[in-house]
Amino acid sequence: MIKTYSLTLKRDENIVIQDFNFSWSRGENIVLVGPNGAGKSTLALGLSGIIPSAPGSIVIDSKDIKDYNLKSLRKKIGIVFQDPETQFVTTDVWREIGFGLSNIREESSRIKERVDAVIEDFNLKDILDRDPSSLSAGEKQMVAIAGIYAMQPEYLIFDEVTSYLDRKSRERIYELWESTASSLLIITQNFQEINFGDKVILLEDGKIDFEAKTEDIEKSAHFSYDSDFFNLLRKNKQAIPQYDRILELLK
Amino acid sequence: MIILKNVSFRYEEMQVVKNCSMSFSPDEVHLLVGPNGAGKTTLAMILKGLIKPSHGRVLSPRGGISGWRKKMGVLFQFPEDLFFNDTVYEEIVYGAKRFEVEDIDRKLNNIIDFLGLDPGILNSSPFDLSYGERRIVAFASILIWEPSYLILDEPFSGLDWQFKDRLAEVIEGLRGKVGLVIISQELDNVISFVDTVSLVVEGELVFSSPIGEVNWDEVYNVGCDIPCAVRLGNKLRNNGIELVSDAPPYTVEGLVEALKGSDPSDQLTES
Repeated sequence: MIKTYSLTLKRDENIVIQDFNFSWSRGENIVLVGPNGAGKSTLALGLSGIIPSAPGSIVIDSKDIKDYNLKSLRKKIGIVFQDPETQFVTTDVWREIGFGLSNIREESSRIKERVDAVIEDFNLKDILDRDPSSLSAGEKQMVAIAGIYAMQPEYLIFDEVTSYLDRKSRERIYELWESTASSLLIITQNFQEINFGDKVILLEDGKIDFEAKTEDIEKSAHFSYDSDFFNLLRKNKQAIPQYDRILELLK
Repeated sequence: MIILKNVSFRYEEMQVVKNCSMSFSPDEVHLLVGPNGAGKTTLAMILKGLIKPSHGRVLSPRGGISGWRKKMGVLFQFPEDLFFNDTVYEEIVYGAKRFEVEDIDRKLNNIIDFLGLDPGILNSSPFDLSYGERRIVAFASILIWEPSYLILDEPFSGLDWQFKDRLAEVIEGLRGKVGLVIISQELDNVISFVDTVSLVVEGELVFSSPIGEVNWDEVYNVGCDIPCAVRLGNKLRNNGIELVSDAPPYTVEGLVEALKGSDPSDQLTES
């Protein structure tokens, strides 16, 4: 389980997340929604140890995040960003997928074994020798995700990874989410992705504005489009405006 | 008018663009759709002259293509990654200053007004702005050039609905004043004011059609999204509800008009 205690996170001296208490159980998938600037990405960076907490703490499986070394932390938690290119450092797909593992100094036999396995799983054989920067957006995102999967982290964060993918590439990622055994934290602006969570959290100004089990939301939404959750989403400009508009015009 | 004539582009061993011919008029909104990796961004770069086609030509009917290109702005994917100035003001006027655009401050005032930006942010660091505000600032830094053409490559990605709506309104406000070329996977934000749709798949142009004649099934079948109204309309039709309307069926307003004109309960019993 990952727990935060009065967590504060800053970006360039600005406090983005303050006094934040949250827990993420092993095996639990959480969908995090909220407007731009709510602090979703900052929280993701904090939880994965990329930016330090100041003050407050993050405890991962009963151990403070500060007590993890890079290798053990990267095996615990991985993060995939919206723009995969910010993640790329090498010039061919095979090395790119293996980069995370070599960065934590895994033995080369182990790297080969893991990289070959995810290449098989992700069906990336045809693009192995390509320069990652020459790939299409969908392929780039799959390579970035494969690199994280190669490290087999127990907790996985996806920060708006589908936002500029075409429908087919997006559906490929959805299949992956459905078949992944790790615990997922999915940050999204796409309302339809709520279905991939056991729990949905709405973040606003660095605080949890709403939290509910996905099945409860679906039940209430099924019976009433005016449910609290939908109204909150609307307030935060998170609703699906096209459907709202249709209803409004039909009234 | 800018014309791509039999344009091809090869990158190493890959044929990224294959024999594409299409035209872009300065008073239309032209939407380029296609799966990721279809060659849309490459076509945009050829249009702007950032890369040279391996074959074919980029033409303007009365010549002067280099002049057109100077007046062509491009909003790349993740434009805010290119920010490097200390203040929003500097970020917006940087390019314009470098190319000696006249009367910068007056133009800046017009643009921040047009974009609905708070003048108070001009002295802040662009890195202190929210993600959505940064995208609007990136847009301002291009508009200050007063481009005749504007290429927008996935302008909505990563934005929340509030900013998507705001940016869509801004883009619609430019219709007719600037030739717009929009590359987007998210069609619902722009579909109500698009004039022409071109579908590109594996580097080839499948069709270039006026919006009213687009074959949306073809767009869907290559792995792209289609407008929400088209999707809903198809579902209703498949359930035996006949939709008849003169309004454009790809907009939400058009679909609602069609729904008002039909009586679903009657049709369901008949079918």
